Amino acid sequence: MIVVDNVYKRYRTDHGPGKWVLQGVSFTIPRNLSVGLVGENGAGKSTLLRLIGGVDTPNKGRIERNCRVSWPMGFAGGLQPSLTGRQNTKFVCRIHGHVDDIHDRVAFVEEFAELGDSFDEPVRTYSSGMRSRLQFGLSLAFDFDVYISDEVTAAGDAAFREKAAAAFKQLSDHASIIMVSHGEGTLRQFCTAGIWLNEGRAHWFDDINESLRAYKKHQLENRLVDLVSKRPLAENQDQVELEIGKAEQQLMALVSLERGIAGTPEAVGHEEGKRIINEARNYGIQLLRPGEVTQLGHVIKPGAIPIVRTFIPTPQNRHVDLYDLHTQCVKAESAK
Amino acid sequence: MNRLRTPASITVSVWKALILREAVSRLSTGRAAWLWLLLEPLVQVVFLLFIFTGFQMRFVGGIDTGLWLMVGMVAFLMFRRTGTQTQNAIDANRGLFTYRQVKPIDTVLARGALEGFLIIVIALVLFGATYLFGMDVAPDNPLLVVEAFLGLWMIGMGFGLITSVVGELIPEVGKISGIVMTPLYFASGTMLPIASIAHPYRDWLLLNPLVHGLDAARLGFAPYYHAVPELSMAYLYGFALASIFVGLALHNRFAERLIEQ
Repeated sequence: MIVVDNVYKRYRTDHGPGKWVLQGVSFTIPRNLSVGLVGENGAGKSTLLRLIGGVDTPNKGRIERNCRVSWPMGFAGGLQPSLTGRQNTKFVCRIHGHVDDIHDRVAFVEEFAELGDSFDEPVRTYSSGMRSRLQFGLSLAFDFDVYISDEVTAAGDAAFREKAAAAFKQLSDHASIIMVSHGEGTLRQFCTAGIWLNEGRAHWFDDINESLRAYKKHQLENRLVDLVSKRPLAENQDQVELEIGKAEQQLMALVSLERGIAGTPEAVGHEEGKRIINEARNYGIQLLRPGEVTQLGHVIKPGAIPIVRTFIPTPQNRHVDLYDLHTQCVKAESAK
Repeated sequence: MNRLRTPASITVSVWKALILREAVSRLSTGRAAWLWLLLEPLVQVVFLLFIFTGFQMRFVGGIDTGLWLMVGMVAFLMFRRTGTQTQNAIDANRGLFTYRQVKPIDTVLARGALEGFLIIVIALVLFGATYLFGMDVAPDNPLLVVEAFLGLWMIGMGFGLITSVVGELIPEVGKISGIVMTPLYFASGTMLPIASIAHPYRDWLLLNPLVHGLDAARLGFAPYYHAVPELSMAYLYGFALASIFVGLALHNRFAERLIEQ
């Protein structure tokens, strides 16, 4: 079991302390549950893995590892470039206290990594695929309860990925994995639960698919905000218009799916919804998060997913909320 | 297995692994790396001996110039190599901090231990070779020699422990400590007998603990050597312990920040 309790982390930069990467992250990973981490670049996924792996320590908060946790396997570090693959392997065996059976373990890594003669060449001559094969083989040479993988499975050719997947599946009856991957397929294949990291906070989902959906929705929202803010200055208005339309459609489809609506306002024939969307296109869009109050006085329910609000500065300073649009959609649906 | 390991046994296995790792890269990277380790002090001794012979100085402080130079040089190397090697230990092993068992202080200690061992081997080879050339190099007071070398190694460790931390936090310090080494080389009495320097200046030079270490080592080889009269092993060891303490304290205080960068 791994307990992450109210963890804060920020790094020092050349200009003093940087911004908080993690702000009050808390969750508990039960035994034998594999978890996937999703989030944008720079959301703190690798930082969180380093903290769980015990490489870094949090500025505030506490992390408990009540089991044997591997080091974070990934591109950054773990191998000494001037030493050969074999020497690196021996080093890792020794720091893990495996001196008596060092030959068996080195033989295992050599066989698994399939590096051939390169195993006795310095690691600095390796390609990134060869590196991650070595790292992957290294971590499999030891019995951990939890394996931490920072994109390590993504590298290598198709054949090796298949081999890695098979090895992981074999482990899964007595060990679990915490992984970061930008491949949705990989996450779905290995992970049951999911954590979505966003703006320094962690959102736990019992189902990895839900965390992927939440992440995707957030991306769409940001994209929409970005497109709308760019629109007045854009050269090819038509293109931007088209992309906004596409993003809105995708977003509405996601939101509708979440709320149990069969389709978008257009799809369910909701006239008012269509009108609002059309009107909103001419103005700005911004985000509302749980706990915030909409312009119409609705409080977004805790636990709700951030939604899009249209911002329409008409003479009366009228605001229309998509939030209301959703509720109206639900009503329209249930009225049928 | 892993679950039953105590913190002490983990640390010991990390030290063993690091020392072996350092030894491999120190002795096997590049062509004949071990030869260069040996050549550096040898060339310096031979070169200085050449100059001193040119000045017709066959004896310094009552002992043979060759012996005087060689002991001083190896003793100074004990400090300098330990100090500079440990200073760069953290950067050279940055990739290994991925394993939470490995802490910055471990890399510094492992490098220091290896370097001390290497200098001893180098010293044995050098003195062995000169013995074969018929020079009387058997130390009269081996214990004093060991004491002096140990003290110099400890000062090197203290220097390395402090600069490894400070150099990571303030990168300019690394450059400054490189600049400081050359004046220290002259101010420690490697090629200039400190005992022959006039009074107010000698007192200043005696603040440098390396002077005490170098002269003690020479005294250990030849009891009739005219060492500086103020020679104090207590000062050498006091300085060594104080600097090691400061270095350890710095490592303890900044351990997390050293890994982060």
